[in-house]
Amino acid sequence: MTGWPIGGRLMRYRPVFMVVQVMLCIISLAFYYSTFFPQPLMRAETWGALAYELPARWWAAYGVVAAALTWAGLRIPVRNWMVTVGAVMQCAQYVVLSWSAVFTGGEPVVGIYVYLFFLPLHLWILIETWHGRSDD
Amino acid sequence: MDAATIEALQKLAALGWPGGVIGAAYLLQRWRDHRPPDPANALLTGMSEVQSSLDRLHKDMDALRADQKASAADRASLNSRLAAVEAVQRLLSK
Repeated sequence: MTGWPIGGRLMRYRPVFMVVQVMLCIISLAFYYSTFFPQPLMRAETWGALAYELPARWWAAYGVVAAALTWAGLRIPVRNWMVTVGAVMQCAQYVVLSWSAVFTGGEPVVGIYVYLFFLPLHLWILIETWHGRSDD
Repeated sequence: MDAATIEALQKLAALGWPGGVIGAAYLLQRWRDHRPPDPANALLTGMSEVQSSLDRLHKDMDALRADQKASAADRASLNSRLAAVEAVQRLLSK
C-alpha cells in the first residue's frame, strides 16, 4: 500500500476501533466501580489537581457514556453523529486529563501517554468517519 | 416504600446504570434504519432464494418421477418451472 494510510478507510479499521471502544468501556467501568471501594483506582497524585475539580466517579461515568456511544455508532450502519459525539467527548477528556497530569501535579508520563496515544487515536476515528467511505 | 428499600434501589441504580447506557446506545444505533439495502447483500439473498427454489423443484421432480399416475402435463409444467428458475440462476451468477 502506498500513500498516506489515513482517511477513507473506515470500513477497514472499524473492527479495531470497535475493539478499542469495548476495552475503553471496560476500563472506565473498572474505574467507576472502584470508586465504591475505599481505595479507588484514580488518585490525585496520578492525574493531577485539575482532574480532581470533578469527582473521579464522574470522569469514569463520562468515559463509559463516550465509549458506549462511539462503539454503538461504529456498528453497521455506521452512525456518524454517534461516533462524532462519542469521539469528541473522549478527545475533550484526554486533553483535560493530560493537561492536568502534566501541569497540575500529576504524573507527567501518564499525561504524555494519554496525549500522544489516546488523543490521536480518537482524532483518527473522527477523520475516518468524516473523510468519505471510499471502501464502504 | 420504606427508607431501606429506597436506599437499595438507589444502590442498584448507581451500580446498574452503565448497562442501561450501553443498551440505550445499542438501541439508538438500531433506531430508524432507513438505509437502502446493500446491492451486494440483495444479490446474495436473491441467489440463495433461487437456490432454495431449485432444491424444492428437484424434490418435486423426484416425487413426480416416482408417481406412476402423474400426467404428461404435470411433468411438462414442472420442467418449464425448473427451466425458468435455472435461467434466473444463470443470470444472477454472471
